[in-house]
Amino acid sequence: MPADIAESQPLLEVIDLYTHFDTPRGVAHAVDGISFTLDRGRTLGVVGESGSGKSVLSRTIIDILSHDGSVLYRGKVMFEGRDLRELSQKEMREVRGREIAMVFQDPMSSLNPVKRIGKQITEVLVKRMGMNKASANLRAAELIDSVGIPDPEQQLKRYPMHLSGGMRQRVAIAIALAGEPKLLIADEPTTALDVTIQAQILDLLRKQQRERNMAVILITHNLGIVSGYTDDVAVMYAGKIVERCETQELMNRPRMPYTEALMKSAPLLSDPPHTRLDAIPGLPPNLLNVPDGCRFHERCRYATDRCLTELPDLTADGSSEHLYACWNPLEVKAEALS
Amino acid sequence: MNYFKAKILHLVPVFFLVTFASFMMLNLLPGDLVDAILLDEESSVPSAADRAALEKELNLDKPVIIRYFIWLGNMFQGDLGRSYINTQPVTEALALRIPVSLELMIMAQILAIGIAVPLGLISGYKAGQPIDRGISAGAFAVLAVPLFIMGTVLIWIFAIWWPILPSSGHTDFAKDAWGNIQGFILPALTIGLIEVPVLMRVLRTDLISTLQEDYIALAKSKGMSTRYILFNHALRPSSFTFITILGLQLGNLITGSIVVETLFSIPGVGKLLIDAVDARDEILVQGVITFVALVYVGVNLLVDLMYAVLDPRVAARGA
Ligand SMILES: Nc1ncnc2c1ncn2[C@@H]1O[C@H](COP(=O)(O)OP(=O)(O)OP(=O)(O)O)[C@@H](O)[C@H]1O
Ligand code: SF4
Ligand SMILES: [Mg+2]
Repeated sequence: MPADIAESQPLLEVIDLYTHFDTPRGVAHAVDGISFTLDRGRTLGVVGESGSGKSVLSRTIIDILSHDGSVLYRGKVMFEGRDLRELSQKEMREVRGREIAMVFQDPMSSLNPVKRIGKQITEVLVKRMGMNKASANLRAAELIDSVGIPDPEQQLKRYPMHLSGGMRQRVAIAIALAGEPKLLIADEPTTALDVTIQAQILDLLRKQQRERNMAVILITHNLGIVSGYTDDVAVMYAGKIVERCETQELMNRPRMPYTEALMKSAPLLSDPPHTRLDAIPGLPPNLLNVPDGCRFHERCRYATDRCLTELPDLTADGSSEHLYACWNPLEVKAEALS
Repeated sequence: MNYFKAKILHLVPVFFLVTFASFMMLNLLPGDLVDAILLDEESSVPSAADRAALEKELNLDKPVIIRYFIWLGNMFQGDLGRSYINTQPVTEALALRIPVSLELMIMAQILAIGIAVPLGLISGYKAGQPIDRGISAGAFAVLAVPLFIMGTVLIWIFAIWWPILPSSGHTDFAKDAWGNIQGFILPALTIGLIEVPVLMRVLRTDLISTLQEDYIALAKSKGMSTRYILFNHALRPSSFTFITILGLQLGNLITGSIVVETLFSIPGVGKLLIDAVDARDEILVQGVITFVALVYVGVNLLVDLMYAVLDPRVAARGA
C-alpha cells in the first residue's frame, strides 16, 4: 500500500462493535454497537461511569477476553486496514504487545508478584522482539531508565512488592513500551494512585507518546484527566458511545445530558475550590436488561416521551464532527450563558 | 532468616512429643519382651536368673521415664540401640532400607506431580468444558479406590494382563539400574495415582482464580502464548495449596509406602517396620518411628522453604 494512503488511513477503526457476555443470569450487553476511529499519534479519551463497558471495550480491541463461547462478539476492529477480529489466535498474538499494548488500572495486581521485574520486561524483548538475553537485559534497563526509575540495573532484579504504586505503574508502562507498539491502551492507569503521582504518570505517558508517535486510548472516569491529556473523547454509557468529538469541543459545548451530568459530578482541574458537586442520581442500567429508548432516560432531567421508546443514534448537527446521541440535546447557547 | 528459626522452634517440640509418645505406647503393649526373646533363643522355660540378667542388659529394670532419657541421650549421639532380635544396630538396619524407601517415595512424588500438574492445568484452563469434566470424573473415580486395590489393579493390568512390568521384588540399582527402576514403577504409580486427584483438584481451583488476575491479562496483552502463560505466569502463583497438600500428603506417602512395600515385597523402611512389629522388636520399632518423625519434621521445614522460594513475599512477611 502506498505510503500516503497508509498515512491517511486511520490507525484504528472500530466499526459497530458488540461484546456480550452470555451469563447464567442472561446476556450482558457490555459493549453494544460502538464505532470510532483513532489516528496515529492521537489520544482518545474514553470516559464513563463504572460499569459502562470501558474495560470490556479495551479488552475486546486487544482480544484478551475468553473465546470459550461465553463471550459473543460482532463488528470490526480495523487496525491499519486489517480486521483484527478475522485474525487467527496465532496472528492476533503477533499483534498483541507489538502493535497494541496495554497498561492496566492497578499496578499492584497487573504485575506478576512472583516474577522479577526484569523478567517481566525481557520476556517481551526475547519472545516478541527476538532479542537475545544479554541485549534484552540492556534494553530493559534502558526502558526502566526512560520511564524515570532510578538505578535501572538494580531494579531489574527486584520483585514488584519492593516498589511503590507509582513505580510499579512506571514498570507497567515500560513493559508496554518494550514491544514498541503503535497503539497503547491505558485502562484507568492512575485510578489506583495518589493524586500527586497521577500527574507524573500521565505526563510520562504523554512524553513517551510524543517521542514514539504512538496513539493512546486513555480510559478514565475523570473528566479532568480527559481535558488535560486527550485530543478526542468518547463518552460511554451502558455499553454505548453517547457523545464523541474533540476534547476542547466537549469541554466547551457538551450536547448530551449525561456528559453534562458527568461534568457536574466530577471536579475539573479548572474548577475553583469548593465547587459544589452534583452526584448523578440513580444507577446506570443493568446491562443484563437494558431499558428501551435512551439508556439514560431514567436519570435524565431532560427526558421526554420519545426518550422512553426510541433509542437516539449517534448523530451530528449538519457537517459538524461533534456526535451525540440525544433527542433533546443541550443548546449550545444555553451552555454558553450558564 | 528469622522466619526459618521460628519454624524450627515450632518443630522441635513436635519431634520430642512423637518420640516420647511412641516410647510410652510401645511400653504399654501387652506381652513380655524378655519372654519373647528368651523363648525365641531356647526352647525351655527361661530361668529367673536369665530373665533378670537380660532385663538388666536391656535396662528393663529401670522406670520407663528413665529408659526414655537413656534412649534419648543415645539417640543424640547417633545410637538408636541394637535390635533385640538380631543385635544389628538400628541405624544400620535403617541405612540399608532408607535408600529403597526414598527411591520409592521420590518416584511416587515425581509421578504424582508429573500427572497432576498437566491435568490440573488443562482442567483449570478449560474449566467447565468437556475435557475438564472428563478429567474430574476420572479423578473422583480414582479418589474412591483404596491403596491396596489400586496396587492390585495395576499389578493385574501391567504385570499379568499386559506383562511389561514386574509385580514384586527389588533389584539392586548398582547391578541393574533399569531393572531397579522398572521394579519401582508399579509401586510408585500406586502411591502416586492415589495422590493425583487431590493435587489436581487444588491446582485446578487455584489456577482458575489465578487466571482471573490482571497480571494474566497483562501477560496475554504482551502476546505471550497460552502454554507459556500457564507454565510461566500462572503455575507458580497457583501452587501454594498444591505444595501444602504435597507436604501434608507426605504423611500418607509414608503410610502408603508401608502398604505398598508389603504388597510389592520391597525391602524399604515400611517393610522393616512391619517386620519389626511382627517380631516385637521394640527398640527397632522405636528407631524406625523416630526416623519417620525426623523425616516428617524435616519435610515440613522443606515445605515452608518452598513457599519462600515460590513467593518472595512469604519470606519478607516472616522477617
Ligand atoms: N467476564 C464477564 N462476564 C460477565 N459480565 C462481565 C464480564 N466482564 C465484564 N462484565 C460486565 O460488563 C460490564 C462492563 O464492565 P467494564 O469492566 O467494562 O466496566 P468499566 O467501564 O471498565 O468500569 P470501571 O470504571 O469500574 O472499570 C459490567 O457490568 C460487568 O459486570
Ligand atoms: S435522549 Fe432523552 S433521555 Fe436520553 S439523554 Fe437525551 S434527553 Fe435525556
Ligand atoms: Mg474498567
